[in-house]
Amino acid sequence: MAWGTMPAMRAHHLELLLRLLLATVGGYAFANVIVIAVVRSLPISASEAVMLALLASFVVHAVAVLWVFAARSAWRACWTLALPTLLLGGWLWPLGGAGPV
Amino acid sequence: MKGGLRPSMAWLHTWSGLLPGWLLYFVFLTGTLGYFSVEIDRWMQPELPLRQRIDPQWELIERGLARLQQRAPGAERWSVELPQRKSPLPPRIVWRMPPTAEGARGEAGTEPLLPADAAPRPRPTGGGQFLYQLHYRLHYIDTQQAYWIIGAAAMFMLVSILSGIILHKKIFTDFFTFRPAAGKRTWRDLHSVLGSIALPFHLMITWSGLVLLAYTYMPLVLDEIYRFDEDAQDVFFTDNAQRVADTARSGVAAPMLLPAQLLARQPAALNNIRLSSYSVRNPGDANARVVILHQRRNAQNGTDQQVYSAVSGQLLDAGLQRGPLRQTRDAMLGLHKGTFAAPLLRALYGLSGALGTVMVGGGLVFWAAKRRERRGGVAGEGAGGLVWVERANPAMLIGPLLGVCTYLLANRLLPVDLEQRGSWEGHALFFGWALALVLTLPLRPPRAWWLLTALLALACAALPVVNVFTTDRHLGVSLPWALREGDWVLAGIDLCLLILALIFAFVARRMARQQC
Repeated sequence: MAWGTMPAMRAHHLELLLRLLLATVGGYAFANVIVIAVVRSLPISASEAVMLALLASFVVHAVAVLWVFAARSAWRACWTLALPTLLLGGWLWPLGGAGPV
Repeated sequence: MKGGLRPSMAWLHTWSGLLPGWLLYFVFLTGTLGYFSVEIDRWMQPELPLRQRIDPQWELIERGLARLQQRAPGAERWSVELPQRKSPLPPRIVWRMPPTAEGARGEAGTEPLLPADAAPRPRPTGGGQFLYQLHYRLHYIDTQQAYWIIGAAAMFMLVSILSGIILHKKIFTDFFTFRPAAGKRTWRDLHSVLGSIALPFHLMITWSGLVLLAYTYMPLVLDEIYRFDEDAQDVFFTDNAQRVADTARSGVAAPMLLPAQLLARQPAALNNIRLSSYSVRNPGDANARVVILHQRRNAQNGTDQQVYSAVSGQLLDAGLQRGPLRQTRDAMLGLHKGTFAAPLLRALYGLSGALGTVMVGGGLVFWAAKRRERRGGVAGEGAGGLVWVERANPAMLIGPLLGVCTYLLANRLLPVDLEQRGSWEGHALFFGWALALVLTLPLRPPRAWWLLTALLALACAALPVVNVFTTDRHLGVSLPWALREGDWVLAGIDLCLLILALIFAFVARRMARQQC
């Protein structure tokens, strides 16, 4: 590898590293917040909400991973995941427990 | 990523499958064997009588209750425990006396229901259960760590399946595309044909496996929805049926129905089920309850217990109060475990699992072959990750199979009274696998493939032979038995091993020819 190509390689690796982090940590956080927010806004009991959230979370995470690697740029993948996570997370945080089973 | 959807999905499919590939292969292999754990258990305990005594269960229960009446009158709880599908131990009765005046727990007792057989105790063994547990608990490491490792690998698998589907838009054409003897393309075809044939199974087994351990993987969900409300979480986890059964004594004596009478009053619910245990709470009281545990969970609603009034025979609770989503989740778990499946369906489970195992293995071989072609040169030489993968592939793919053979061999060859016998069998599995690695890492891949396949053929053939010299449950006995009684479990395992030995020997011979 010629020295001249090094910066380009490094940018490529950085982008890959960012995507990997987004897919694992980001995708996990995204999946948790999305499913919890969705089940909390549905008119179902808490125990049913838990079940739906657990069933859906893995699929949401997997689709988020696909999106992270399909997105045109890592930056785009980053804000499209971060924005809903932060918004819905901010909405969830002050809410109390869901109450009785 | 750059270059559009397909290249980025191809990249994702490759790496999400490749990185945990060897682990996924091992999980698929041991999980598939797990579907036959009961049969393997029986094979690994040749001391068990040939005839699996299945006494009429209701008669056993009747006898058990009569014995309990004499042995433990005034008990708080009686149980008759029947032989389990998972561990065919003889039936026994269990009782617990009411708490003492000081509030201490009542005394408990247990004794076998039938007079002890003259047959020797079955040898201690890890059995098929050990193989089954390997697929989610691994070995030599902490269980929680193992769960997370398995969970990460399963997420990779899920991503790999989904990106694979996007990648192969022509999934139905792939279904019919198989080019034998076309070098690396054969492996590729094998990978995509098997992937698409058993796709619903792979999706189901991966997703439901994750759901099975979801409380571990997604702890935030429970915490967030209940906001760390421990009481609410307790209610969530407590079996509803348990609460119905735990009723206090009324103090009024009342005659109880005999099991046959209960059966006559609830034929729809109780006919045609295999019971695991029949318990009576508060025997002789107006509040007496019968709790019936099933051997198998019902695939549709996931229940495995029913509570009846022992006096009126009325059904009080058919398991948990389950909402539709709870039922969906329970059905997913039932599908994953497949314990509801009748023999033919279970064989299909085994076949799908085997297809999955070969699919993962084929993908790994294809990856190495494609890289090699692109880079040129001789297999097993050069630098970098490719060489490493190429060289380890034979031992990582055939090694576990060899390990299962050494595991079964250890069951026959280790002294019967060895301490910790089950653990030594387990060590034997990993010894066989490690041996495969040590033998083949220095070899060129084609030679390594040949050597291990030949060794595997030998090991498979050796098992039925060793069986002849170490037990009296060998083919000479089990085959006539199977022909006469239609019970093919023991003979079937030996015959399968012989057939596998032939197949592997054939493959090894072809490999040897191609190298010449």
